Amino acid sequence: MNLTFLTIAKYERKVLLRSWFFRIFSFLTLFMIFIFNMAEVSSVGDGTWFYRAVPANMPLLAIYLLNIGQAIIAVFLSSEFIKRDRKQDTAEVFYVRSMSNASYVLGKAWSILSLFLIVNVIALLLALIFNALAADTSIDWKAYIYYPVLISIPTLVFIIGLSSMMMSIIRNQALVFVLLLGYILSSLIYLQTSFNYLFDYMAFHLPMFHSLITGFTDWETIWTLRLMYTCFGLSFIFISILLLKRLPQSRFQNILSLFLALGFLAAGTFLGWKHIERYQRSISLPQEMIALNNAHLFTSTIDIDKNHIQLTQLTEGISIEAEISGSGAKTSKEFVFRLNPGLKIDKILANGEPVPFERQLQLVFLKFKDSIPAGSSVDFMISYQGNIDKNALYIDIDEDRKYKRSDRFLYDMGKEVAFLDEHYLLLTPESDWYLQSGVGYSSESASWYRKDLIDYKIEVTTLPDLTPVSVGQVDLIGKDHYVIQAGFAQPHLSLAIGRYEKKSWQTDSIELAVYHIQGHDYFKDAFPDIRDTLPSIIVERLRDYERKIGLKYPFESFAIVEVPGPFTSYDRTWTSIHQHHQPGMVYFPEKGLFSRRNDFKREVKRQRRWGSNRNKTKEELQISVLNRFLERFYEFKDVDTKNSSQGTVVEESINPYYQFVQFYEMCNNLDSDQWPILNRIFESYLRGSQNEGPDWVRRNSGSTQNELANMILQEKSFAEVLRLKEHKELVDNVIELKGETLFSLIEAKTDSDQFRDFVTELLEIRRFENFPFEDFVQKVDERFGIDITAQMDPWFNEIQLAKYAFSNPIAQKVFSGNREMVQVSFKVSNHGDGEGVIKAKLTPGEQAEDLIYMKPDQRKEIYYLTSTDPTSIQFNTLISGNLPNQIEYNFEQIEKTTRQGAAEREVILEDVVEILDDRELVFDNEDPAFEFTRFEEVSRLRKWLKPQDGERFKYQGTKVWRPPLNWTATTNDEFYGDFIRSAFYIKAGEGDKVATWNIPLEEPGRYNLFYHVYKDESFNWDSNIRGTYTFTVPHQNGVDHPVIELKRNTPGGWMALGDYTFSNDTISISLTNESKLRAIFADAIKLVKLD
Amino acid sequence: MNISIQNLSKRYPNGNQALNNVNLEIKEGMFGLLGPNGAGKSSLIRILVTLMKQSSGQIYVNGKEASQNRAYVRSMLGYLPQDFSFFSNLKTYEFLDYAARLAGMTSRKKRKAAVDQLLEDVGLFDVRSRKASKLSGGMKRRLGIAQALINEPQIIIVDEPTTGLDPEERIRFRNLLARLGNKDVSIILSTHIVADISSICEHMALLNKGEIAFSGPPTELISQAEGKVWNIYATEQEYQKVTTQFDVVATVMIKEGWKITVVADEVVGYEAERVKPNLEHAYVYFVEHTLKNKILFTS
Repeated sequence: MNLTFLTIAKYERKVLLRSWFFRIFSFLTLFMIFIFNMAEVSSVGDGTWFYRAVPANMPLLAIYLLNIGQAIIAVFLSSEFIKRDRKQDTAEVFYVRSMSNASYVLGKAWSILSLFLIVNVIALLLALIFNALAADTSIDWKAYIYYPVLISIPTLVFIIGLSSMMMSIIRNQALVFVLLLGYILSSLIYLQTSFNYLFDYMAFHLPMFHSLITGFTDWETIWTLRLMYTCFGLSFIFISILLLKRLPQSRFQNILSLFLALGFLAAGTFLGWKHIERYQRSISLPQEMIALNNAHLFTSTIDIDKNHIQLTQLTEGISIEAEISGSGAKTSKEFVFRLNPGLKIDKILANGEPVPFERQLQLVFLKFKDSIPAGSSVDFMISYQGNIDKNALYIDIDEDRKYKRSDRFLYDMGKEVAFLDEHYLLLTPESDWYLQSGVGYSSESASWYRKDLIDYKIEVTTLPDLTPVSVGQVDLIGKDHYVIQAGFAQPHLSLAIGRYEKKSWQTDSIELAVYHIQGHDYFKDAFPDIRDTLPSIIVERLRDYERKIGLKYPFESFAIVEVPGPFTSYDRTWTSIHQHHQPGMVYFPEKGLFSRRNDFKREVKRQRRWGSNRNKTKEELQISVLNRFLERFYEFKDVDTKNSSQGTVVEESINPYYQFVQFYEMCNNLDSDQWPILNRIFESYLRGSQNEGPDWVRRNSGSTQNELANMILQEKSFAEVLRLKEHKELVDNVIELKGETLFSLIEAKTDSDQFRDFVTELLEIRRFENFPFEDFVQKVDERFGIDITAQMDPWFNEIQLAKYAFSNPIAQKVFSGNREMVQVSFKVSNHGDGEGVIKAKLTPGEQAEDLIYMKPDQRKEIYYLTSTDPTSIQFNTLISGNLPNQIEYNFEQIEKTTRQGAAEREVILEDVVEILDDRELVFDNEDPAFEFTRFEEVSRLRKWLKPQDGERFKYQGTKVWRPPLNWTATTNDEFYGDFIRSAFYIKAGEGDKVATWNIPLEEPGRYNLFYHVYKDESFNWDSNIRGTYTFTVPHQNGVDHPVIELKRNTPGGWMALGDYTFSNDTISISLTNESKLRAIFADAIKLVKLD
Repeated sequence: MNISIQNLSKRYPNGNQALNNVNLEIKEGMFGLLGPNGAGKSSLIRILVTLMKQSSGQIYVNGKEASQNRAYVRSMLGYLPQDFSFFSNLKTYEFLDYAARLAGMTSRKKRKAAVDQLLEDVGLFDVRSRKASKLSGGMKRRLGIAQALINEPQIIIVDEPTTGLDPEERIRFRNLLARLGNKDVSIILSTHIVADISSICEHMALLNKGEIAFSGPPTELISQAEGKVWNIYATEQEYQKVTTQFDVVATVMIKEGWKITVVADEVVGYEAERVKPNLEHAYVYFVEHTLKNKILFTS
């Protein structure tokens, strides 16, 4: 072969370079990389912090963008070669030259590869320039080598090989192009992360993020897959040599090509098989573990009180010796524990004698000779060593969620749940690195979950130059030998070991600390002008929060610990503790890369550019940036909205850095075997209701997450919901709603303020200890005479919903004593079969929310007094048969009266709350006799491409700027409805789409007809809006077409359509979509008898 | 240099027998391969240049069996195919340089000198920087011959080189080949144009329907037609009859009527005179007369 292939490559490269196709591609790609760098990296674009925080991201950005293009263009170029050889007769004069087929094909392949590599080099140079000019970052030189090697080369080798081989077989470039494009699009859109990125030949989804602390997230998957694609690519190239339509010149090289083709094919297949095997184990192990947990759910357990762990960090793994003390929960000989299956037990000793044990995956069964009576103490020592099997973590989280790509950045950062190598270690309780009592997650019952507050002490021997970080005081007692002790019982224990440095500030009441990896103290000089006041600002923010939630921060320190960026934890239904949390400690991703809020220096500059900040001092700006950073710890949820043709989807997840968890879950434990979800429920009561997210989200998606959760609870009991496979994303909301409802009910039955104060006090007393639920129940009973347990069973197992009807609230000026006040009064009735509680709040109002407790079939009249003129009153119906569950009434005017002696009160009424007059009949869109015309709006192609997925909720969002082509149900508190305030809406048009109210008339006669008009948001922003609603009313003397004209200032609500005489027993009143408005809403018709 | 073709046959998958038991000996110098369209010339050439496999038979080049020694054969080949017009996006000199490099000229300096010299020889030096695809038809042919000649190959095979060239280009081309024929190389010129061979070839073979109909010096072919070529002076009335009765080589209008050159053993009944045959006459006589008779006779 000698170097003839280089000659071929040299000239073919010239030909390629002259191709406009290639030139345009290269220019556009480099231009895109330039623009992206300008926007994201340079100070001009003022982009994200992500790229500069971890400098390897800058070359990755360039290669990632380039690779998307080159992966597609290379298909065209490599198939073009073979096509050109066939088309151009001059190719024959080269075919008759003395060279092997291998030289020829390899030369062609190398020409494409080398040319793209040149473009890669240019792209990297571009990235390097931006990298060098960027502030607060460094250059990761190695990244400039390993990204092209790991991303570009395997992608190109594979796609060049595949296209050449397919072209040699099919010999039709168009067909090859279509087939390969199909493959590429499938890998990008459909296959995505399937089989742990097996089909991701261009590393589009494969996380290639390179952490400053731990390097690549899943190095084994990366090298396996990238090498697999390289091997397949090389194999295909050698197959193309064998398939070349030229008589071979060298038998030896042909045989060698055959061997290499088969060899690389075998190597690629082997790597792929190993990868699939690994993937399948990651799927099967959790299932096996769950089955095992299910089987041993009721095996006796020991309540552990103390655990003294002596951990030695090894270059590969850990070695642990632990002394454990506890007591048996039940009398038994056999007790079950769990430990990561990657850790092998050497021995277990009790009183110096070996204790027989059995190991099944994660479970450890201790088999004592004699029974241990319930409550009597058990002490034993266990020693084990090994590595952490990461497949054994988060066994309850499904594969889709584990592999789900985060859309936060251009490329996926990857997820890692535990770290264990010679440079860095991060083990959280989820990895079962220390012996824990009982089985783990069970799919059969929630009773597996137990939360124990345990006294931990850790002795750590680290590898040289590393420092351990965990909760408590870290004392160095020998070379690389540390003791860490918190001094209080903890719900869980995590340990980090790395090249940590600590920076701390001691204030009067609390120590603030940052544990960062050496050299990552970029924040050190970020706040030069508030250096002295910085700790007090942080503490003040904490105190504000304490006041807001009415609870005290229970720890003497608060520390932020830097951990690798991909470190991930998942929401759990049974606890709000994320693996990011430790008592008084939070794990924060390296250099806070996920948010530009953490790019402090640039954030200060950014703030200065905002118009309103121009006059602010440096100190003020720095405080503002610091507060924005701190805000992250007080935000409850991350809300993400996605728009698709199916509508807007809202995705909520609990912010893993949210620190409310420190105030309850980390220090208290309401211990109940029967209701393991109690801690979560209790916490949600303490936290109180959170904002439902902006109004526009509700308008777009049709319902808030809580309303969706409410819809589920209208059909299923809480116990059923917790076992539900669908709507997992709403379980959190269900728990919150249930929690809020349960304790609001209790609170409403007692004197509200007292109950809350009582609870707060009790929690403070019982901190850092397990507080049996039975004790809590007893104390509540003693104090308030309420037996909570009586409420618990129906609350957990039954569907009993309240359904509320409200009268229109009235606001009047009255006198209370000598003061002129405003009295707000309304009537409310519960038409459901369950008790319930309503939260009512006036705006603006100085009072907290009022809780109105409603028994089934109860009616009340409520009077509130307020000194400020209210503009509106809001009701939150929590779990109920009402939709939406937040209803707002605006007060258009406040009536003046001279009434004296007004007071706040709640009057229980005997009569039914009559919202309607006797003579009034209302027919709503929720009536079964309401009907509308349906049209097939989705094209067959669209249906085929995007089939409707899964079951959707009945009520959709209201999108006035893009209304649906069919009548679509939507809810809003401004619609008419007894319990469900809904309407059907449609895009306005030619009048071909009709909604009809079929109204049964008991009494023929003369009626005044009204329509309930809803003015959508377009009336707010379009000052020239005008349009009509056209009805068809058949009556005794013929058919009329009354029209309602709407303008911006036309009031909404009931509007007259005229008076008509009806002689039939059923009349059908129709509304068409003929209008110049954007959308038409079909809501309710009212008839008022005239004679 | 010795090329020995023995019992060579080629049958295409569609059943077409392109070559049938061909035997030929080719030595140094200019060798013409003549035959009508479809005679199997291109099949023979494509087998010779290792672009195609024969169905049976062997070709020996200097005693080495060609299909077993493709590297050896290819290393001494220069080839100009019949169709030579579609180029990749290379400049004239780049194209030649590429060919030179593949022909084994590794020294950049020598290659440059050789490329420049050849461009001079074929008269393309002035257009050396023009894209090869932008050259005229004649220029492309000349570039074709230049690439075939690069690095002084010992076997040069040109397939229908003058097809589509204007007369001036054709003469220039023949002269170029003739000059090469003086060197110690074998040049195989496949053509259906007799004039290409008559002017320059020392040896020739006549291929007809896949078989060698004649092999030897052109003079021998001509001598076979000695006394068989006639000029018939025909009147207007006789013209039709003569052209259907005889194999006509040429027709010229003269004052008294027509001068029709025909090949025939005897001409009776017309005013006729014997003419000294040339290769074209001999070719027509051979193809239209001897072969037909042979076929008639054998059938």
